[in-house]
Amino acid sequence: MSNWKHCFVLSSWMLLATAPLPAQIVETPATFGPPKAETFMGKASSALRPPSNDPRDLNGNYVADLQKSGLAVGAPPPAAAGSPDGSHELAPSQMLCRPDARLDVSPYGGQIIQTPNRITFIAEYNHVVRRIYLNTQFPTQLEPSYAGYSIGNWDGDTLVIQTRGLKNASIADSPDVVEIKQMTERVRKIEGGQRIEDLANIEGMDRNGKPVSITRRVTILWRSDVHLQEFICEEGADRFFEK
Amino acid sequence: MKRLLFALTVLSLLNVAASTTGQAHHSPSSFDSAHPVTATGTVKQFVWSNPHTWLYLLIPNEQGGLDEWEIEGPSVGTLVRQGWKSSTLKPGEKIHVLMARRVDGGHGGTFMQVTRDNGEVLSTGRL
Repeated sequence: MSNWKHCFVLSSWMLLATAPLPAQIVETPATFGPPKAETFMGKASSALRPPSNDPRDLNGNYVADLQKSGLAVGAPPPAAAGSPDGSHELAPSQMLCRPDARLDVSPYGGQIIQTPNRITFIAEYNHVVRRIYLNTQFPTQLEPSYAGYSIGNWDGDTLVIQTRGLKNASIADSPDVVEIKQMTERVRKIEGGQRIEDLANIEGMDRNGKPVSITRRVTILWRSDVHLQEFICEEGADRFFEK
Repeated sequence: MKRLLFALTVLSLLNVAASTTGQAHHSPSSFDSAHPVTATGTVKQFVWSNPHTWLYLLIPNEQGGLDEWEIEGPSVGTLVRQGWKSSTLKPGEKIHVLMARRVDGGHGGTFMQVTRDNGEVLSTGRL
Protein backbone atom coordinates (compact mmCIF):
# COMPACT_ATOMS: atom_id res chain seq x y z
CA MET A 1 0.00 0.00 0.00
CA SER A 2 1.35 3.41 -0.91
CA ASN A 3 1.97 5.99 1.76
CA TRP A 4 -0.93 8.10 0.51
CA LYS A 5 -3.39 5.19 0.56
CA HIS A 6 -2.11 4.19 3.95
CA CYS A 7 -2.62 7.72 5.17
CA PHE A 8 -6.17 7.80 3.80
CA VAL A 9 -7.12 4.47 5.40
CA LEU A 10 -5.75 5.46 8.76
CA SER A 11 -7.44 8.84 8.66
CA SER A 12 -10.77 7.28 7.71
CA TRP A 13 -10.41 4.81 10.53
CA MET A 14 -9.70 7.64 12.94
CA LEU A 15 -12.84 9.51 11.86
CA LEU A 16 -14.88 6.32 12.29
CA ALA A 17 -13.55 5.99 15.82
CA THR A 18 -15.01 9.37 16.72
CA ALA A 19 -18.43 8.72 15.12
CA PRO A 20 -21.54 9.78 17.11
CA LEU A 21 -23.13 7.28 19.44
CA PRO A 22 -26.26 5.36 18.44
CA ALA A 23 -29.47 6.10 20.34
CA GLN A 24 -29.09 3.02 22.54
CA ILE A 25 -25.86 4.34 24.00
CA VAL A 26 -26.09 7.48 26.09
CA GLU A 27 -23.44 9.36 27.98
CA THR A 28 -23.94 8.86 31.71
CA PRO A 29 -22.21 10.98 34.31
CA ALA A 30 -20.65 8.62 36.81
CA THR A 31 -17.47 8.49 38.79
CA PHE A 32 -15.49 5.32 38.84
CA GLY A 33 -13.39 5.60 41.93
CA PRO A 34 -9.97 4.02 42.05
CA PRO A 35 -10.16 0.33 42.84
CA LYS A 36 -9.90 -0.51 46.52
CA ALA A 37 -9.41 -3.80 48.30
CA GLU A 38 -13.19 -4.12 48.61
CA THR A 39 -13.58 -3.74 44.85
CA PHE A 40 -11.86 -7.03 44.21
CA MET A 41 -12.36 -8.82 47.50
CA GLY A 42 -15.76 -7.63 48.72
CA LYS A 43 -16.49 -5.85 51.97
CA ALA A 44 -15.28 -7.29 55.24
CA SER A 45 -17.74 -9.74 56.75
CA SER A 46 -18.65 -10.58 60.33
CA ALA A 47 -16.13 -13.41 60.12
CA LEU A 48 -13.29 -10.88 60.27
CA ARG A 49 -11.31 -11.38 63.47
CA PRO A 50 -8.34 -9.40 64.78
CA PRO A 51 -4.81 -10.46 63.89
CA SER A 52 -2.59 -12.28 66.37
CA ASN A 53 -0.67 -10.13 68.85
CA ASP A 54 2.47 -12.17 68.18
CA PRO A 55 4.65 -10.13 65.81
CA ARG A 56 6.19 -13.34 64.51
CA ASP A 57 2.85 -14.93 63.72
CA LEU A 58 2.06 -14.10 60.10
CA ASN A 59 -0.60 -16.78 59.68
CA GLY A 60 -3.79 -15.67 58.03
CA ASN A 61 -5.41 -14.23 54.96
CA TYR A 62 -4.56 -10.92 53.38
CA VAL A 63 -5.67 -8.79 50.45
CA ALA A 64 -3.92 -6.40 48.12
CA ASP A 65 -3.39 -2.96 49.61
CA LEU A 66 -4.14 -1.05 46.43
CA GLN A 67 -4.15 2.35 48.07
CA LYS A 68 -0.88 2.02 49.91
CA SER A 69 1.53 -0.09 47.93
CA GLY A 70 4.08 1.36 45.62
CA LEU A 71 7.65 1.27 44.57
CA ALA A 72 10.18 2.83 46.85
CA VAL A 73 12.85 5.43 46.25
CA GLY A 74 15.07 4.84 43.25
CA ALA A 75 12.72 2.41 41.60
CA PRO A 76 11.81 2.54 37.92
CA PRO A 77 8.32 3.60 36.82
CA PRO A 78 5.78 1.32 38.46
CA ALA A 79 4.07 -1.40 36.53
CA ALA A 80 2.52 -3.52 39.23
CA ALA A 81 1.91 -1.08 42.00
CA GLY A 82 -0.85 1.46 42.32
CA SER A 83 -0.16 4.47 40.14
CA PRO A 84 -0.57 8.04 41.39
CA ASP A 85 -4.12 8.32 40.07
CA GLY A 86 -5.09 5.20 41.94
CA SER A 87 -5.38 3.06 38.85
CA HIS A 88 -3.95 -0.39 38.75
CA GLU A 89 -1.40 -1.88 36.37
CA LEU A 90 0.00 -5.36 36.10
CA ALA A 91 3.54 -6.48 35.47
CA PRO A 92 4.31 -8.24 32.16
CA SER A 93 4.51 -11.68 33.73
CA GLN A 94 1.16 -11.16 35.42
CA MET A 95 -0.34 -10.19 32.07
CA LEU A 96 0.80 -13.55 30.72
CA CYS A 97 -0.69 -15.45 33.66
CA ARG A 98 2.76 -16.34 34.99
CA PRO A 99 3.41 -16.65 38.72
CA ASP A 100 6.31 -14.85 40.31
CA ALA A 101 7.76 -14.08 43.71
CA ARG A 102 5.73 -11.04 44.64
CA LEU A 103 4.08 -10.91 48.04
CA ASP A 104 1.64 -8.11 47.31
CA VAL A 105 -1.05 -10.48 45.97
CA SER A 106 -2.24 -7.69 43.73
CA PRO A 107 -5.04 -7.21 42.97
CA TYR A 108 -6.63 -10.07 44.93
CA GLY A 109 -5.84 -11.97 48.08
CA GLY A 110 -3.40 -14.41 49.56
CA GLN A 111 -2.81 -16.70 52.51
CA ILE A 112 0.20 -17.21 54.73
CA ILE A 113 0.61 -20.61 56.36
CA GLN A 114 3.35 -20.73 58.96
CA THR A 115 4.98 -23.79 60.46
CA PRO A 116 8.21 -23.97 62.51
CA ASN A 117 10.46 -24.63 59.50
CA ARG A 118 8.57 -23.15 56.62
CA ILE A 119 6.34 -20.25 55.70
CA THR A 120 4.15 -20.84 52.68
CA PHE A 121 2.59 -17.98 50.83
CA ILE A 122 -0.27 -18.66 48.46
CA ALA A 123 -1.80 -16.00 46.23
CA GLU A 124 -5.12 -16.27 44.48
CA TYR A 125 -3.75 -14.67 41.35
CA ASN A 126 -1.66 -16.68 38.90
CA HIS A 127 -1.12 -19.68 41.19
CA VAL A 128 1.70 -18.03 43.09
CA VAL A 129 3.09 -20.35 45.77
CA ARG A 130 6.19 -19.25 47.63
CA ARG A 131 7.87 -21.62 50.04
CA ILE A 132 10.21 -19.87 52.44
CA TYR A 133 12.41 -22.36 54.23
CA LEU A 134 13.50 -21.15 57.67
CA ASN A 135 16.88 -21.50 59.34
CA THR A 136 18.58 -23.20 56.42
CA GLN A 137 20.94 -22.47 53.52
CA PHE A 138 20.50 -22.31 49.78
CA PRO A 139 21.07 -25.58 47.93
CA THR A 140 24.34 -25.72 46.07
CA GLN A 141 22.52 -25.81 42.74
CA LEU A 142 19.31 -24.04 41.94
CA GLU A 143 17.08 -24.76 39.00
CA PRO A 144 15.45 -21.48 37.89
CA SER A 145 11.78 -21.24 38.74
CA TYR A 146 9.08 -18.59 38.68
CA ALA A 147 8.97 -18.17 42.45
CA GLY A 148 12.65 -18.90 42.94
CA TYR A 149 14.06 -20.52 46.06
CA SER A 150 13.59 -18.62 49.31
CA ILE A 151 15.19 -18.98 52.70
CA GLY A 152 14.19 -16.99 55.75
CA ASN A 153 15.53 -15.98 59.13
CA TRP A 154 14.07 -13.84 61.89
CA ASP A 155 15.88 -10.63 62.74
CA GLY A 156 13.99 -9.56 65.84
CA ASP A 157 10.39 -9.30 64.71
CA THR A 158 11.34 -8.92 61.05
CA LEU A 159 11.43 -11.90 58.74
CA VAL A 160 14.37 -11.59 56.36
CA ILE A 161 13.79 -13.53 53.16
CA GLN A 162 16.46 -14.13 50.55
CA THR A 163 15.37 -15.42 47.17
CA ARG A 164 17.55 -16.69 44.34
CA GLY A 165 16.99 -18.75 41.23
CA LEU A 166 14.28 -16.56 39.77
CA LYS A 167 13.38 -17.56 36.25
CA ASN A 168 12.51 -14.09 35.11
CA ALA A 169 12.98 -10.55 36.31
CA SER A 170 9.35 -9.49 36.39
CA ILE A 171 9.40 -8.81 40.12
CA ALA A 172 11.60 -5.80 39.37
CA ASP A 173 8.72 -4.24 37.43
CA SER A 174 11.19 -2.73 35.02
CA PRO A 175 11.87 -3.67 31.40
CA ASP A 176 15.47 -2.56 31.95
CA VAL A 177 16.14 -5.32 34.48
CA VAL A 178 16.72 -8.57 32.63
CA GLU A 179 18.15 -10.76 35.36
CA ILE A 180 17.80 -10.97 39.12
CA LYS A 181 20.65 -12.32 41.17
CA GLN A 182 19.03 -12.05 44.55
CA MET A 183 16.06 -10.46 46.24
CA THR A 184 16.25 -9.67 49.94
CA GLU A 185 13.00 -8.83 51.67
CA ARG A 186 12.38 -7.52 55.16
CA VAL A 187 8.86 -8.52 56.11
CA ARG A 188 7.14 -7.37 59.30
CA LYS A 189 3.75 -6.74 60.76
CA ILE A 190 2.82 -3.10 61.14
CA GLU A 191 -0.16 -1.22 62.55
CA GLY A 192 -0.82 -3.93 65.10
CA GLY A 193 -0.90 -6.59 62.43
CA GLN A 194 -3.48 -4.85 60.25
CA ARG A 195 -0.84 -4.71 57.54
CA ILE A 196 2.29 -6.58 56.58
CA GLU A 197 5.09 -4.53 55.08
CA ASP A 198 7.48 -6.08 52.56
CA LEU A 199 10.54 -3.99 51.83
CA ALA A 200 12.48 -5.68 49.08
CA ASN A 201 15.92 -4.97 47.71
CA ILE A 202 16.37 -6.49 44.28
CA GLU A 203 19.86 -6.93 42.88
CA GLY A 204 20.23 -7.83 39.25
CA MET A 205 21.60 -6.94 35.86
CA ASP A 206 20.27 -4.50 33.33
CA ARG A 207 20.09 -5.00 29.57
CA ASN A 208 23.57 -3.55 29.22
CA GLY A 209 25.07 -6.05 31.63
CA LYS A 210 25.44 -3.53 34.41
CA PRO A 211 24.44 -4.26 38.02
CA VAL A 212 21.22 -2.66 39.20
CA SER A 213 19.63 -2.40 42.58
CA ILE A 214 15.95 -1.67 43.12
CA THR A 215 14.06 -1.11 46.33
CA ARG A 216 10.42 -2.04 46.34
CA ARG A 217 7.94 -1.56 49.18
CA VAL A 218 4.53 -3.13 49.30
CA THR A 219 2.00 -3.73 52.01
CA ILE A 220 -0.85 -6.19 52.28
CA LEU A 221 -3.98 -5.87 54.39
CA TRP A 222 -5.21 -8.29 57.05
CA ARG A 223 -8.53 -9.81 56.00
CA SER A 224 -9.07 -13.06 57.87
CA ASP A 225 -12.60 -13.34 56.46
CA VAL A 226 -11.53 -13.63 52.84
CA HIS A 227 -12.04 -16.89 51.01
CA LEU A 228 -9.59 -17.40 48.20
CA GLN A 229 -11.09 -18.34 44.85
CA GLU A 230 -9.72 -20.62 42.20
CA PHE A 231 -8.22 -18.37 39.56
CA ILE A 232 -7.41 -20.07 36.29
CA CYS A 233 -6.04 -17.12 34.38
CA GLU A 234 -5.14 -19.13 31.31
CA GLU A 235 -8.69 -20.07 30.41
CA GLY A 236 -9.61 -16.59 29.27
CA ALA A 237 -6.20 -15.43 28.23
CA ASP A 238 -6.42 -16.76 24.70
CA ARG A 239 -9.62 -14.82 24.18
CA PHE A 240 -7.91 -11.76 25.55
CA PHE A 241 -4.72 -11.92 23.56
CA GLU A 242 -6.38 -12.76 20.25
CA LYS A 243 -7.48 -9.14 19.99
CA MET B 1 -2.53 19.56 1.81
CA LYS B 2 0.52 17.42 2.49
CA ARG B 3 0.84 18.96 5.93
CA LEU B 4 -2.83 18.22 6.67
CA LEU B 5 -2.47 14.62 5.57
CA PHE B 6 0.71 14.29 7.57
CA ALA B 7 -1.07 15.61 10.66
CA LEU B 8 -3.97 13.20 10.12
CA THR B 9 -1.52 10.35 9.73
CA VAL B 10 0.22 11.24 12.97
CA LEU B 11 -3.12 11.44 14.77
CA SER B 12 -4.16 8.14 13.27
CA LEU B 13 -0.95 6.47 14.36
CA LEU B 14 -1.48 7.80 17.86
CA ASN B 15 -4.93 6.31 17.75
CA VAL B 16 -3.50 2.99 16.56
CA ALA B 17 -1.06 3.13 19.44
CA ALA B 18 -3.97 3.63 21.82
CA SER B 19 -5.72 0.69 20.22
CA THR B 20 -2.66 -1.48 20.70
CA THR B 21 -2.49 -0.40 24.31
CA GLY B 22 -6.02 -1.63 24.56
CA GLN B 23 -4.74 -5.16 24.21
CA ALA B 24 -2.71 -4.85 27.36
CA HIS B 25 -4.15 -6.73 30.29
CA HIS B 26 -5.97 -4.33 32.58
CA SER B 27 -4.41 -1.16 31.32
CA PRO B 28 -6.78 1.60 32.45
CA SER B 29 -5.76 3.68 29.44
CA SER B 30 -7.58 1.20 27.20
CA PHE B 31 -10.93 2.61 28.22
CA ASP B 32 -12.43 6.05 28.43
CA SER B 33 -13.52 6.04 32.06
CA ALA B 34 -13.84 9.83 32.04
CA HIS B 35 -16.85 9.60 29.71
CA PRO B 36 -18.94 6.60 30.81
CA VAL B 37 -21.97 5.58 28.81
CA THR B 38 -25.02 3.44 29.40
CA ALA B 39 -25.71 0.97 26.63
CA THR B 40 -29.04 -0.76 26.33
CA GLY B 41 -29.05 -4.08 24.57
CA THR B 42 -29.75 -7.78 24.68
CA VAL B 43 -27.38 -10.34 26.11
CA LYS B 44 -25.99 -12.63 23.44
CA GLN B 45 -23.54 -14.42 25.70
CA PHE B 46 -21.94 -14.00 29.11
CA VAL B 47 -18.61 -15.76 29.37
CA TRP B 48 -17.61 -16.72 32.91
CA SER B 49 -13.82 -16.80 32.70
CA ASN B 50 -10.59 -15.42 34.07
CA PRO B 51 -8.70 -13.18 33.92
CA HIS B 52 -11.85 -11.43 32.71
CA THR B 53 -15.48 -12.21 32.20
CA TRP B 54 -16.92 -11.16 28.85
CA LEU B 55 -20.33 -9.82 28.00
CA TYR B 56 -21.46 -9.97 24.39
CA LEU B 57 -24.26 -7.47 23.97
CA LEU B 58 -26.42 -6.86 20.90
CA ILE B 59 -27.12 -3.16 20.54
CA PRO B 60 -29.45 -1.68 17.90
CA ASN B 61 -27.62 0.59 15.49
CA GLU B 62 -28.75 3.58 13.44
CA GLN B 63 -29.22 1.43 10.34
CA GLY B 64 -31.87 -0.74 11.97
CA GLY B 65 -29.51 -3.64 12.56
CA LEU B 66 -27.68 -4.95 15.57
CA ASP B 67 -24.08 -4.38 16.52
CA GLU B 68 -22.33 -6.92 18.69
CA TRP B 69 -20.37 -5.30 21.48
CA GLU B 70 -17.67 -7.16 23.34
CA ILE B 71 -17.52 -5.82 26.87
CA GLU B 72 -14.88 -6.91 29.32
CA GLY B 73 -15.85 -7.53 32.93
CA PRO B 74 -14.05 -8.12 36.20
CA SER B 75 -12.64 -11.53 37.04
CA VAL B 76 -14.87 -14.36 38.20
CA GLY B 77 -13.68 -14.02 41.79
CA THR B 78 -14.38 -10.30 41.86
CA LEU B 79 -17.92 -10.79 40.61
CA VAL B 80 -18.57 -13.72 42.96
CA ARG B 81 -17.69 -11.48 45.87
CA GLN B 82 -20.22 -8.97 44.59
CA GLY B 83 -22.91 -11.64 44.50
CA TRP B 84 -22.75 -12.65 40.84
CA LYS B 85 -23.04 -16.18 39.45
CA SER B 86 -22.23 -17.62 36.06
CA SER B 87 -25.97 -17.64 35.37
CA THR B 88 -26.59 -14.06 36.47
CA LEU B 89 -26.94 -12.87 32.88
CA LYS B 90 -28.83 -15.05 30.44
CA PRO B 91 -28.94 -14.85 26.64
CA GLY B 92 -31.92 -12.84 25.44
CA GLU B 93 -32.17 -10.70 28.56
CA LYS B 94 -32.50 -6.94 28.06
CA ILE B 95 -30.03 -5.03 30.23
CA HIS B 96 -28.53 -1.60 30.67
CA VAL B 97 -24.75 -1.58 30.94
CA LEU B 98 -22.80 1.27 32.49
CA MET B 99 -19.39 1.05 30.93
CA ALA B 100 -16.28 2.82 29.79
CA ARG B 101 -15.88 2.45 26.04
CA ARG B 102 -12.72 1.48 24.24
CA VAL B 103 -10.66 4.53 23.47
CA ASP B 104 -10.19 3.39 19.89
CA GLY B 105 -13.91 3.72 19.23
CA GLY B 106 -14.44 0.03 18.60
CA HIS B 107 -17.53 -1.84 19.73
CA GLY B 108 -16.25 -2.70 23.14
CA GLY B 109 -15.49 -1.50 26.61
CA THR B 110 -15.34 -2.51 30.22
CA PHE B 111 -18.48 -2.69 32.31
CA MET B 112 -18.82 -1.12 35.75
CA GLN B 113 -22.44 -1.88 36.54
CA VAL B 114 -25.37 -3.72 34.97
CA THR B 115 -29.03 -2.91 35.54
CA ARG B 116 -31.75 -5.34 34.59
CA ASP B 117 -34.76 -4.01 32.75
CA ASN B 118 -36.77 -4.34 36.01
CA GLY B 119 -34.38 -1.96 37.74
CA GLU B 120 -32.29 -4.48 39.69
CA VAL B 121 -28.75 -3.22 39.93
CA LEU B 122 -25.86 -5.66 39.64
CA SER B 123 -22.80 -3.99 41.10
CA THR B 124 -19.19 -4.74 40.30
CA GLY B 125 -17.93 -2.67 43.23
CA ARG B 126 -16.54 0.13 41.10
CA LEU B 127 -19.11 2.82 41.97
